[in-house]
Amino acid sequence: MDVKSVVPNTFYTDELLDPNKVNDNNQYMIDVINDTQSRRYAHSIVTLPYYLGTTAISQADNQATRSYLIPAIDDMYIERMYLDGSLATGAATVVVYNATTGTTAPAGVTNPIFTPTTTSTTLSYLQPIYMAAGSTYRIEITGAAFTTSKLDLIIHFRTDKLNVDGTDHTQFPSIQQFTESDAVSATSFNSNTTAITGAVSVINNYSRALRISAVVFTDFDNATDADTLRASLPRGTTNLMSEESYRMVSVVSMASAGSAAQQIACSISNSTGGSIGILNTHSVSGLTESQATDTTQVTISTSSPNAISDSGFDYRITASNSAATNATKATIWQFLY
Amino acid sequence: MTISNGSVLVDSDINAVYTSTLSTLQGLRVVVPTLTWLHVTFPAVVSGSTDAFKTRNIILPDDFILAEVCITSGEGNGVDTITVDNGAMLQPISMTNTRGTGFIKAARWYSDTTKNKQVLLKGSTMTITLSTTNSSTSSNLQVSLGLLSEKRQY
Repeated sequence: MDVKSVVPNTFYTDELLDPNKVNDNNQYMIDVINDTQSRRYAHSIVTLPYYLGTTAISQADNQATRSYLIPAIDDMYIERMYLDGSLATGAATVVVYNATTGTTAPAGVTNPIFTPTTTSTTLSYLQPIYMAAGSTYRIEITGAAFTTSKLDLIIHFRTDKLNVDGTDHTQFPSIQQFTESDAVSATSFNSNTTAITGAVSVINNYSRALRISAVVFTDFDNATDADTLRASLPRGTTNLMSEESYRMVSVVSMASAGSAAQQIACSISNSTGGSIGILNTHSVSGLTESQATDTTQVTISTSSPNAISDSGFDYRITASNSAATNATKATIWQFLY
Repeated sequence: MTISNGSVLVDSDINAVYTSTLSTLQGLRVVVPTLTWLHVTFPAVVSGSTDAFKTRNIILPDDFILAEVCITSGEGNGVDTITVDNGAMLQPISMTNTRGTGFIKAARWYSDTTKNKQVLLKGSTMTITLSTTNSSTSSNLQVSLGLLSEKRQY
């Protein structure tokens, strides 16, 4: 059912108001609202490698190197996960837990989530993991003695456009049916109108189409300015998005503690390198891991300097290191609305 | 629009309520198409790297329309050929990138006069393969696929 631009019945001057037509129109609106709310899920895909470039990870590496932190800035689900690849040697397990509380995730499930082997294969984990807004989860590879080969973690995220804040904003407007013998009062007429427009207003105010993507940078230092990766946000008049909003949280993982005054900056900027206001700066002196706070939401608007055309808006994702020492990895999580 | 007992109910007012409300519904974030980005990186991959490091297998969680294909190369040399296919694409993606040129992207929908939009089905496995003459391990390459969802009822 597509959202049409007209209801079944149009009313005309000098026409007797037919209650059946009013009922039909009202019911049509209820059906459209219900159908609209059924289109409530958004799906995203993220790939995270358990290797650095082509360099393996082993049990000797620190926890920051062997794991990924996933920040949930709004309510979201890991719908399922896959682990693709193999170990080079040894035996390992991949565990998931709530880094905020230290508890196993999901509750009641015995870790490990995956047990990769030295045979190249794809492993699946199909049980959803709910991530409450404000929580951080860690997915870590551990073992007594192992070395990874090429091993990629693929995460399917699912978000509910009508519930990213812990409250289900689904609307169930109730309307009164009129009969021809009714003496329809203004109150009942207004009540129906208010129920419909009020429901739409709530959906409009609370629907947020959260999508999640991530980019992983490995082994970058201050000797290069090329630790920049780019993508393009499509624009145009042909049924694509008008404006989008971004928030960002980056996580930096160091093989050893950062040097004094060392900073790692992660940013999203426009195609000419100019800021669009999304920046995480990590001061990693003495730290092996640093998770940035959530950035404020920045709308990619149609105005300069974010040039908009049908060919799209090009943006850059950048990780830079103030020190010559290579950072292990920086994971830039992007939250798109 | 609110009415009071005894007032004249104007047809245009009634019509306007429905039209306005439907217009609002059409623009809701719940129903407008949404894009998600699949970023796949190939760090330190050179011509002599094993095939495993030149390949990514991604199972798709939903039906998507292929909207954008972008390739970025950070450092490195030589030429890359990137292919993307899920075994059912009418026109698998094939793009050539020269390291150092920075950023290339295909036309919207990866389309031309002979092909239009392509739907990538839920549950299919998207294989992204890199063939490269790059010789520098101080290098990175990213393939970004913009995947569009139009109607998500499950």
